[in-house]
Amino acid sequence: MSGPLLSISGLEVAIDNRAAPPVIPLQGVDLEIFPGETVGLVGESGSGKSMTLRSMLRILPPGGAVTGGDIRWRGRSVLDMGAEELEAFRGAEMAMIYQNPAAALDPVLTVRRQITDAYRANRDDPDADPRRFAVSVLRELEFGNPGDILHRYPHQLSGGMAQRVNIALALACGPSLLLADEPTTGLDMTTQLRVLDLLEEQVRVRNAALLFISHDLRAVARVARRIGVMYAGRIVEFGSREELLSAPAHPYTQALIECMELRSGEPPRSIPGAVPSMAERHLLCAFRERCRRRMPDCDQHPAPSRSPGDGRRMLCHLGADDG
Amino acid sequence: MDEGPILEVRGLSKTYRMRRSVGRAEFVPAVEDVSFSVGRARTVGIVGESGSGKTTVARCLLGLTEPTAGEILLNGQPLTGLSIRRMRPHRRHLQMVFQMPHSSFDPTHAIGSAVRQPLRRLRPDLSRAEQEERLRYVLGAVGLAEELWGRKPAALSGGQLQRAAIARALAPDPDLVVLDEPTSSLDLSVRGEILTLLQDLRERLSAAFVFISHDLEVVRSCSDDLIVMYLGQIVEQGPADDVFDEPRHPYTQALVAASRFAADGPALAPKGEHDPSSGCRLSPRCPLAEPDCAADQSLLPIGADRQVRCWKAAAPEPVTGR
Repeated sequence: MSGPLLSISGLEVAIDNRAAPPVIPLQGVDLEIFPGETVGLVGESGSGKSMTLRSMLRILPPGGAVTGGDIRWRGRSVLDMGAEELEAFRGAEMAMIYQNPAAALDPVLTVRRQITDAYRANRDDPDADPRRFAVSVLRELEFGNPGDILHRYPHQLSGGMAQRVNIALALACGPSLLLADEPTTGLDMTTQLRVLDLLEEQVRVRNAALLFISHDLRAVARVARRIGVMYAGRIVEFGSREELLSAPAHPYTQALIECMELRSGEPPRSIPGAVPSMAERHLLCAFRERCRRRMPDCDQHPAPSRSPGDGRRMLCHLGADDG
Repeated sequence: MDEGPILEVRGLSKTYRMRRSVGRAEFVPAVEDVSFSVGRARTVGIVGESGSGKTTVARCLLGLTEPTAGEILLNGQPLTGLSIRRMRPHRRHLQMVFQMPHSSFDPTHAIGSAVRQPLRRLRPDLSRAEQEERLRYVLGAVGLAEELWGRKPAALSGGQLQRAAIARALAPDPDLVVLDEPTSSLDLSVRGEILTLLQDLRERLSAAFVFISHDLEVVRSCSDDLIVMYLGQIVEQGPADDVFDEPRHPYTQALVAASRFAADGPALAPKGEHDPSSGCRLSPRCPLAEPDCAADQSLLPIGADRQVRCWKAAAPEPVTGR
């Protein structure tokens, strides 16, 4: 078995905005992604899912820095890479699809120019034909007339079209790992499903790996085989999508799934309380204030990491004695 | 006493004039022939995707856009074609809750004073003491803790701020409250709180509610009746649970499937570049389309209280795409 493409261990990120105490959006994040696999991260706003992606590409916001842990790409630390190495690494190894498709495209360049530029910049093959690649990838992404789309500017595309062009742009880089940050959130419901399926299919036929993040567990479950649930800067539960959806183990995952389901005749569910401040390191479980399974241990000791099954992992005192 | 509906909309249409190039105008129908009514303490949900016309309907209801044709009656009195002065007495009865709570509050005003403003403006008939009493009542009714009343919007969470927005809309004791995507910017863990609050308020207050969203499941959870819109037209309407549990129009079926992230709905083709302006608007995308679908479709009754704009779905033995 080959090793992981990406391995994150004990990652901590702090953002110092000078005026206020530094914010610590990520604490002790562990994550491994193997070649060709699809992994999802789900969490609410402020849970740290976007920050995880941004630290992987070293594009943290101003004042942001990795203050602990490591990120390794094929065994090599991403944190040690120099500017030149980083330039070659971004795109060719790891490419990103952003949430706002219109803003991610260059407004003054045609679709053709953007795709072929990305293609040329990331491939050494002198025989490669960027235009042919652009036509075929657009066709695979269900554009009926790719030749016409190539001559358009971003403002001449609808939201769903722009997001498919963004997917084409990321694929043009030929990455081993594709990062997708809420790529379908702004799209219509009926379009969303189709774009998710196209993304999943493209990643599969190209044998690339995918890290997909969203606040919507249903979208994540549609494309990812293994899913991590984030809360207040940590991955609190990790497992296969089947196990996670049918038998969630962490109280937060359980509550989140209940909130997602709106059933006729049953009152909608919510989780009382709010996400705690990220201005401090949470040694104890950050969810305990809102947790209905809270016990004395939660207020005294950090939640232990334990495995309730094969390939599963969770941070919780629950069942720690019998597990 | 059997009273009529609070809101009645008859044949509402709105066409925008767009200038494509010098001297040439193009007419874009945003809403076509929309009719519905909402009774006291009832909620009508309007669901549709971008371009469906749901927001244009809301703007017309609130008097922010003048309809091209049709009538809007509030308690039997027409709201359309009124001058600004004659519209004024109706304003207190027409209130709105917006999608983004953080951008719908002035960041420099405390929450309590933001909710007080519409009372001062729209309820000069109440004494100061009565206004203050009403203020305390609505802030309490939405469950906003008293220690938050003096805070600025930035100090409140999205859920708390949306409660404040609902309180502000309810403050002048309106007859009609329009909610435009009130939960779509909220985290899943607080969405349920707001939906529960809206259900609860509907039972306690005598207003009529119009709930607009792209999310069919969310709309269904707090609506009595449901209207599904596609490209400016109502394609299906009826009791919320019936429409959701047994959708008849191919578009509604696709929306229900999409809201469950299931692939068992009719496989709609991607939206084309140019929307059709006659015949069934869905037909270019619909897997069930036949030559007859090129004719204009009218809303056909199915059962006592449901209507569908699809001749195939309204047939005695409807063909479904599922």
